[in-house]
Amino acid sequence: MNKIVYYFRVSLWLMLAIFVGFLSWKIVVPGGKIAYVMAAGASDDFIEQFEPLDRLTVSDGRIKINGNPIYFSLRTPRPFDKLRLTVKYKPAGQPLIAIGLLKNRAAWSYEVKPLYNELINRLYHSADWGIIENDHTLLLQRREKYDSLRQFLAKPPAPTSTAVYDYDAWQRPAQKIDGNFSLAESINYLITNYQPPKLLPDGYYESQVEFDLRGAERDSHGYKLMVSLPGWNEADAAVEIVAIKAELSGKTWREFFKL
Amino acid sequence: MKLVYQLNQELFRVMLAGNLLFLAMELVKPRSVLAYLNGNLWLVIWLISGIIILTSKTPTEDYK
Repeated sequence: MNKIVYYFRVSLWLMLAIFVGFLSWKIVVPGGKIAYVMAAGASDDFIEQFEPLDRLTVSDGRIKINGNPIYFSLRTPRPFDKLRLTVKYKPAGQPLIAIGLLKNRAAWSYEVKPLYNELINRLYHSADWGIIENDHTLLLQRREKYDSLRQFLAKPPAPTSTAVYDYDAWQRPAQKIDGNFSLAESINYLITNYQPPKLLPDGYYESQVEFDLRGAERDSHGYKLMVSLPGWNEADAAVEIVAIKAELSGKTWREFFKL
Repeated sequence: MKLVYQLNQELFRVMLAGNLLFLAMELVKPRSVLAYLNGNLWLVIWLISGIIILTSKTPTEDYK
């Protein structure tokens, strides 16, 4: 056989084998970590199925939301344990944006986490409120009485002066501010797991939300997610999402085989 | 001309094997291949390669 033909044959089969190996690697994810991105010019095929179509428009990785709520799927080749979503968006005057993960299809129950909360953002950047940050927890105090979160939790103030927002560990009575866009004068302390978004130089906001995927519903389209706009009305401008990055982590091949 | 025919035939075979392999992978894990590969482009190249083989004058003994 001609040497050129021989080398051509070997290189073609080698290329096919390398490509199949690459695909298998992407299916199995042996390292346990993978990231998918949906953004203008960099969209892959894993963040998909945005619906219902009468509530949104999708073009070149950008989503304009003009209805509430909207749903989408995160298609994964296998189950994962944790999901960190990074969303770049423009709230367009919307005071509250939340993102949810479907936990129970039969009950249509979503675990909802705040992505953007105008009220807390305002307090966070206000000079009138002191801030204590501890890992993922934020303590805002109108009168700076506490030096640390531990001190606050050990000796909490009266329930009438404390507000709780997206903070499940709080077992004591307190005011809830879900859905309220103003804070009563009597509230001097606010505890939350909400992380205010970063304002990017191009005028967009970027927020991160983490979900525990264990126990979440996963079908042939993957995990089901929702973007909710509490308090939205038709006269509002469309909320725009320009990028979604989904970072997934799960079992590595060593953990899978219990090595 | 004979060399082009032979190279084209190699390409056709590998792409055929790829087609079958990708089909099997897609049946087992939908979108696992098409998320990374433009299936239409693959099929068009394979089709062109097949047409060239069919329309070329087949070399006889000396190919073997």
